[in-house]
Amino acid sequence: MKERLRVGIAQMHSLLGNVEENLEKHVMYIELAKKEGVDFLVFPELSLTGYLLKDIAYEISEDAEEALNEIVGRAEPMCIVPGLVREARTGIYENSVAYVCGGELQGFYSKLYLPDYGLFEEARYFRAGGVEDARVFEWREWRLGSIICEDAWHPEPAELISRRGADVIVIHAASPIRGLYGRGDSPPERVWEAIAVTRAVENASYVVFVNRVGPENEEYFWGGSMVVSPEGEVVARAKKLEEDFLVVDLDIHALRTARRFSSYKLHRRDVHEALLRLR
Amino acid sequence: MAGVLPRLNVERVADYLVRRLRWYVREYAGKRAGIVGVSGGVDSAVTAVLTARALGPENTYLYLLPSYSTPPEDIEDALYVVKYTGVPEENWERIDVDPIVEALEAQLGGMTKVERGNATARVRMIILHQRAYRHNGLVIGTGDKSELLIGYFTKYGDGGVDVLPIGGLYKTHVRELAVHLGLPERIAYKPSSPRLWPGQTAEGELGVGYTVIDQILYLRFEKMLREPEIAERLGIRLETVEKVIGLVKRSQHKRLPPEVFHVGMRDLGSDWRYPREWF
Repeated sequence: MKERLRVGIAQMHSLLGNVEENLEKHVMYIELAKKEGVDFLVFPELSLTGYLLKDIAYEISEDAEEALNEIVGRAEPMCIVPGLVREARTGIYENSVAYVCGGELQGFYSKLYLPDYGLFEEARYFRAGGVEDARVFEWREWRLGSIICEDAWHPEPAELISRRGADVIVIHAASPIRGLYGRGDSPPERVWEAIAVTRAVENASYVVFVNRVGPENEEYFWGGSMVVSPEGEVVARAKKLEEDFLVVDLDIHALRTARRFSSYKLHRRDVHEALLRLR
Repeated sequence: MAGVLPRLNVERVADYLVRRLRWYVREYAGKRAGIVGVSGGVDSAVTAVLTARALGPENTYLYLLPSYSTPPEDIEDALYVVKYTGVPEENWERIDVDPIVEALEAQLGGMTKVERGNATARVRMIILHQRAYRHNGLVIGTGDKSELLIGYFTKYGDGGVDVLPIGGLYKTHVRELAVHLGLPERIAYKPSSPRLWPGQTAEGELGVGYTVIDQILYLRFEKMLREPEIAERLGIRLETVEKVIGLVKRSQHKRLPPEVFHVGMRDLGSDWRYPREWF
C-alpha cells in the first residue's frame, strides 16, 4: 500500500443549473490538482449541477452525464469524484457522486438519507440510494468511500462503507449557513466539525469533509472543508465563505497507529440485529 | 435591551452581507452599481455603507429624497452618511419629492394622509429605479426583517426594490451592525419612522416598539413558541403578541408575488418551482 495518498479538496462555488460553467471549473481544479501531484480529487455534493435546483432537478441529468463523460474522457492519472444529479432509471433521479479513476468510471454512490425538512426538499426530487450500492473504490491501493451530507448525520452510512473496507470516508456536503448570532462559529459550522471528528474516530479512518461555498437563492454555503485524522484531529481547514483548494497528504502510518489504539476492530453484529427489529 | 434576542455576530455578518451583495449585483444580475435611497435612518445608513463596501464608493449612488415631512436632522444625518461612505460628489443627489407628489394630486385630486404617504413612497421608488437604469445598477432595498415580517412598508413603494441585503436582520440587529460599521449612535439608535407624515413614528403607529416586536418575532418564528408562551416569557400582554403576529399574517400578500389563478397544467405559483438563479 502506498505510504501516502495526496488528496485535493475543491471547495467550489457551483452555479445553479449551469453545468457548462461548472464543468469548466471542475477542469480548472483538475489541472490544478495535476500540478500538485494529487492522487484523489474530491468535489462537494452536486458540484456539477448545483444544489437547490428545485424543478431543474428533472431537466439537468443529461447535461450532467455529458459533463461526467468529459471528465472520464480526460483519462487523468488520479481518482476524481464529482457530484451530480443522475437518472438512475428512466425518470428516476438520484443525488450521486461518481468515481472516475484513471479515466475509468468505476461507479456511483447515491445519497441514502434525503433531507426534506426546513429548506431541504430532496425527497421530493430524488430516490434514495441503495445500501448494496454503497461501495468502496480502490485507487493506488487505498480504499476510498463516499457518503453525502445528510448521510453523515446518521452513524450507519459511514459505518457501512468503513466496514466494507474504506480507509478514507469522504463527506460531500452542501451545508448552508444559519444563525449568525453570538460570536465565532455558527451552529452548522460547530455541528459539522463535531460530526466529522466523530465519524473519523468511531471508524478509525480519515474523514475528508468537502463543502460547497457561495450563494444559491437565499442560501449561502459556508465552505470550511476539512480533513480529520483517524485520531480525530482536524489536520487541515479550508477558508470560510470563499472558494479554496486544499492539498493534504494522508499517511498510512497514522491510520495504522489509530487502529492499534482503538476498539474499531470490535463489531457487535447483535447490536445491528437489534436495530433491525426497531421501527 | 435585546432581552431574549441573541446578539448579532456583527463581524461575520458584515463580511457575509458584503460578499453576498457583491456577488448578487455583479455576478447574478450582471450590473455595475448599487442605488440606495438614504433617509437619515439606521436601515438606509447601514445599507449604504454595506453597498459602498461591496461595490466600491465609485459604484454606489445615494439619493436623498426628502418631503415636507422630513425633519431637518434627518437630512443632516443623510448627508453624514453620504460623507461617511465616501461616494464621489457626482454619485449623490438631493431630489425633493413634494413637487412630484403635488403634480399627482393635481391630476388625481386631493389625497388623504395615508394615500399621500404611500404615493410619496412610490414616487421615491420610481426615482430610484430610473437612476438605477441610468447607472446600470440595482435598487438596493433598505427593509429590515422586522418591517418585512410585520408588513410595515409600502407595497411597490419602499417594498419595490431588487434585493434586500438586511432583510435577515431585525431592527435591533441593524442597530448593532450600525455601531459595528462605525455609524454614530444618534443614527444607530434613532427612533424608527417612515416619515410619511409629520410626527409619524413606528412605535406611535404600531403601539409597540421594535425592541419588543423583535423578541416576539424571534420567539414565534425562530423558536416556534406559541403566543401565550411568548407573552409569559416576555412578561407582556397576550394581546400585544397577538397584534404583532396578526400583522405578520395579514401582510403575507405584501411579501409574495401576486396570486395567479391556476388554469393550465402548470402555472405560476405552487407548482412553478424554479429557483431564482436560473442560468
